[in-house]
Amino acid sequence: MLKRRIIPLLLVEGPNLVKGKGFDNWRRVGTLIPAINVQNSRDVDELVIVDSGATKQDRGFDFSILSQARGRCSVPLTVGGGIRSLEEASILIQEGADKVLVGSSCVTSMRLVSQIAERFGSQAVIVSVDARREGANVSCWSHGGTKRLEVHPVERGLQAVQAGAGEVLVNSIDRDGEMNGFDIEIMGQMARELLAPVIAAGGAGSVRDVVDLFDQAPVAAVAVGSLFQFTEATPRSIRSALAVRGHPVRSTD
Amino acid sequence: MIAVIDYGCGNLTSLAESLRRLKVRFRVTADPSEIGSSDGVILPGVGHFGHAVDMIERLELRPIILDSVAKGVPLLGICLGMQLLADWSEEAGEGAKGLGLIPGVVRNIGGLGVSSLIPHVGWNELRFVNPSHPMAMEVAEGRDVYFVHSYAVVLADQIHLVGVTHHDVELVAAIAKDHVWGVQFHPEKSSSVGHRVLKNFVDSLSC
Repeated sequence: MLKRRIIPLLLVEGPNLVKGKGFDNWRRVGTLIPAINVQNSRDVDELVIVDSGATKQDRGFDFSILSQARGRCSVPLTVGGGIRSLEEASILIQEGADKVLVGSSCVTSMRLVSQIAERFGSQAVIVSVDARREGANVSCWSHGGTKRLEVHPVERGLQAVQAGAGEVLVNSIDRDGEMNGFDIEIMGQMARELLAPVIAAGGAGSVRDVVDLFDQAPVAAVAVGSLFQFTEATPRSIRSALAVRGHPVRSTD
Repeated sequence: MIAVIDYGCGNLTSLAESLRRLKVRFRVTADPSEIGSSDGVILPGVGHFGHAVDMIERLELRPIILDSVAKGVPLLGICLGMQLLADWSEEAGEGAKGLGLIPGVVRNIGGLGVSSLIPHVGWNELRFVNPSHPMAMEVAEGRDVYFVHSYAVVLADQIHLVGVTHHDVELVAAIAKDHVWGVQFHPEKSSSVGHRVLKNFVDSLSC
């Protein structure tokens, strides 16, 4: 049986590891290489590294991030941020990334998703869907939460899967960095309606939050930033808590 | 020296890094003379079976690989590289001949009864049917390894079965015939368990 995955989400700008709140208020929380070494030694299930400055600064993915990461990671590696063309995605995959994460370059069309899936298989492409709760409604955003899209997050997720995305990473913008729990409603809705694995991100502040998410929403994986940055929680402590609740998790040393 | 065959099917940076960690001498190569003089051969690969067979023919690697195996040089096939050890694959039809080193056919996992997610991607348990095989040395039963595939080997003779995984149905995860080994999962992406499987292969070489 496939295991629920615990994935650290590292946001990078230049040599720095950063963390924000609500896709804003960035602060430096460390440097990339030590962070990768720590996560790799903690035996995470995968690693996602996002060049968070790329789209903001209207530039492509900073390739030096990949060259720093690839030799240090003995689990699957996903990179994203500023990937705008099949050529850029191809270079990243040929140079050691297992998957690429795209979002802002697929606003008007999911063509890039189809191209990557056709060349490398659907498992190589993850689409990021950024959702913001506004009372009873949920809106969908791109470009680091600055562009509002005229589509519901579920619809955008369906378009991504239809185009060939192997997974959908759902970010809740209003929970990002708040550490007060996931938006379980939107995560559950996305996971039930998409015929592809959903990775939930935004809001994990405790092991309990992750357990609550998996108890109530059929997501395949969780991506966490602050939880590993600012608390004592580890992939191991999360897996133990999930195993107690009967969720399938990876056995590690 | 181990020859990691580079025939344009997949990125080899992770595998190279894993071998570096094992402190073993290796070369990523498509040069027939380097492959022919190596003490061990690793055949990696992701992608389409038919494309892989085309590349092997174009680079004239088939006779080199078969000669090495005939001389007793250990061979490890990884993912598509394991599927290439079989006779042929549904992915490309009977016309695209595999290496025929371990009798069997490669079939779409949907046809084998997998009803949930295809491709089978993620961490899943490796269960050794033959736990005394050298590949399984010091790998605990039921540890998780990383899979990415839509096709799986169906062996002609169960005597070559080393390990399985379960994804709706039982799928072949590891096979071996004498000094030819194959793993469907990616040891280079499978953390400490994968590292140990690669080490077991390296330890089986006589160099």
